[in-house]
Amino acid sequence: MDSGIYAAYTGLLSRTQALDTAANNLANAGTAGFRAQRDYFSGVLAGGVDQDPETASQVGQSVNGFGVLGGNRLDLGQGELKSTGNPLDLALQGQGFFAIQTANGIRYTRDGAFSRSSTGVLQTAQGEPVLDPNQKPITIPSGSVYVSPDGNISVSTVDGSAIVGRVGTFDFPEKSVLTAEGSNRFSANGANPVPANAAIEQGSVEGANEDAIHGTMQLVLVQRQAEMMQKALSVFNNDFDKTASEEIPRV
Amino acid sequence: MIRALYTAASGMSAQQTNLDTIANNLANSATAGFRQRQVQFEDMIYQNLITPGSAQTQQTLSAGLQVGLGTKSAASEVIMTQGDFNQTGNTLDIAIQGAGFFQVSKPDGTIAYTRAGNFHMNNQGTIVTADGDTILPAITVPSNATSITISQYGVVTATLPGQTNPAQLGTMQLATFANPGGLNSVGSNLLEQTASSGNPITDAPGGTSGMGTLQQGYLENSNVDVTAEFVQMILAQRAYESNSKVIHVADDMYSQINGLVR
Repeated sequence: MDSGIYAAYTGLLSRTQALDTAANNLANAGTAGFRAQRDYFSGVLAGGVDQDPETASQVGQSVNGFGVLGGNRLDLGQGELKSTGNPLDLALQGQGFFAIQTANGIRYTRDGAFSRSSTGVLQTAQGEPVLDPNQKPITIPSGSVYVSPDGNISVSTVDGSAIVGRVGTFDFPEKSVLTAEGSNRFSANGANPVPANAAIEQGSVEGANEDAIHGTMQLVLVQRQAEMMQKALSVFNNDFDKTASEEIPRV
Repeated sequence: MIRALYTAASGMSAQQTNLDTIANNLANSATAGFRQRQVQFEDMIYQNLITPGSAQTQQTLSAGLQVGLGTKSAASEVIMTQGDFNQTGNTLDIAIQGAGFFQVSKPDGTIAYTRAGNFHMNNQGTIVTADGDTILPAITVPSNATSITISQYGVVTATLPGQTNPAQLGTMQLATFANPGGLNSVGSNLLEQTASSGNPITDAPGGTSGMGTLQQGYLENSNVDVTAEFVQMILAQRAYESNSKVIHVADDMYSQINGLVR
């Protein structure tokens, strides 16, 4: 009896998890290169005999079908470009990632707020080298730096200008291999990247792809759905059970 | 839900840091040679509730369930763009056009770096900053000099009474860094060298190492773009607001769940 109370309970539980994701998306609305996460819900069937679709009754399926949080995926849509005027700030337009060498191996990022290290190596804010298409660090000599949309870096000094390296851009045919690691980084979990056809915009940083309108809408949605689940729960809790335990014995 | 509360709090605290930086940029928009800072954020660690690619029942999951735990301020980068030039006509106001910093000898003997070129003479005739710190290499102007000229390549000459040829007093030197964004701001328009900035490369202005040239009679203003800072301020305010809404919703959902038990 009362399997509906579990359906309402899992519904409420999954909404609280969805709120966590919505909160994280909104908290990172100011994080360069942040990719929002989108939840999806999926149905599961509970209960022994009704699980076989051949023999399951329509009633059993609808009663024992619970909505749970199935997972979330990265929204890889473009974020807006913010002009900074810093020549080593690079933004990606289109699908793809910059590769960086971290202590745990190669990681991928869309946060292009780079700088030059004390030895001239192109690095992230955490001091991790940015890699070229052959996954090697790039050293930039002093001078004024120009980065072309295809990633070629040229440095001009009083002696003339020369191409000194190229920023690599990488993409993955199967996007689901990417997991967010924090610190604006994504791990590809060992998958091999392919060259991306994203254009590089010098002097800009790509913002997060979460906008306040979408985030707030998600908040309202989650809040209202949680309210419905709570109403459903209280129906079981107060009305049904109360009737069963107090009203029926009286008859 | 407790996660959502902490996540939203991290967003609010990050936006507060952002606003602090914007306030400092705006406060220094009239400071000669000031370089604006910009806060960079990064996402915090993720909790893996379901690992992507794990096998659940018969199918392999194509995507996992990862919940992020908010944001944090990662760095406040110094933006090294050129500031506007302000013509003052003052002999000892010098602006640097291009890369480079003046070297300042601090009272404790260490060297600091500055772009603020509002210089003066002390009672010995030595060229010093507004705070009285000597500019390196020290150049002393004779007390009877009638005029001082500083060329764009840093050569300081003075006209002395009774002499037709101006006397050469010395050459100013500038310093550059591999990563000027890694310099440490210490206030009073001064920056100090750090491990991330690298060692200074000193050269005469307009030298082969990509040094800028000097402009006598001009001051370099701050590079703060007041309009852009106001836009940043609005964005910071709204982001702060939306994070506080999350706290409100989480609180609301929490009280609903508490309300289940009568």
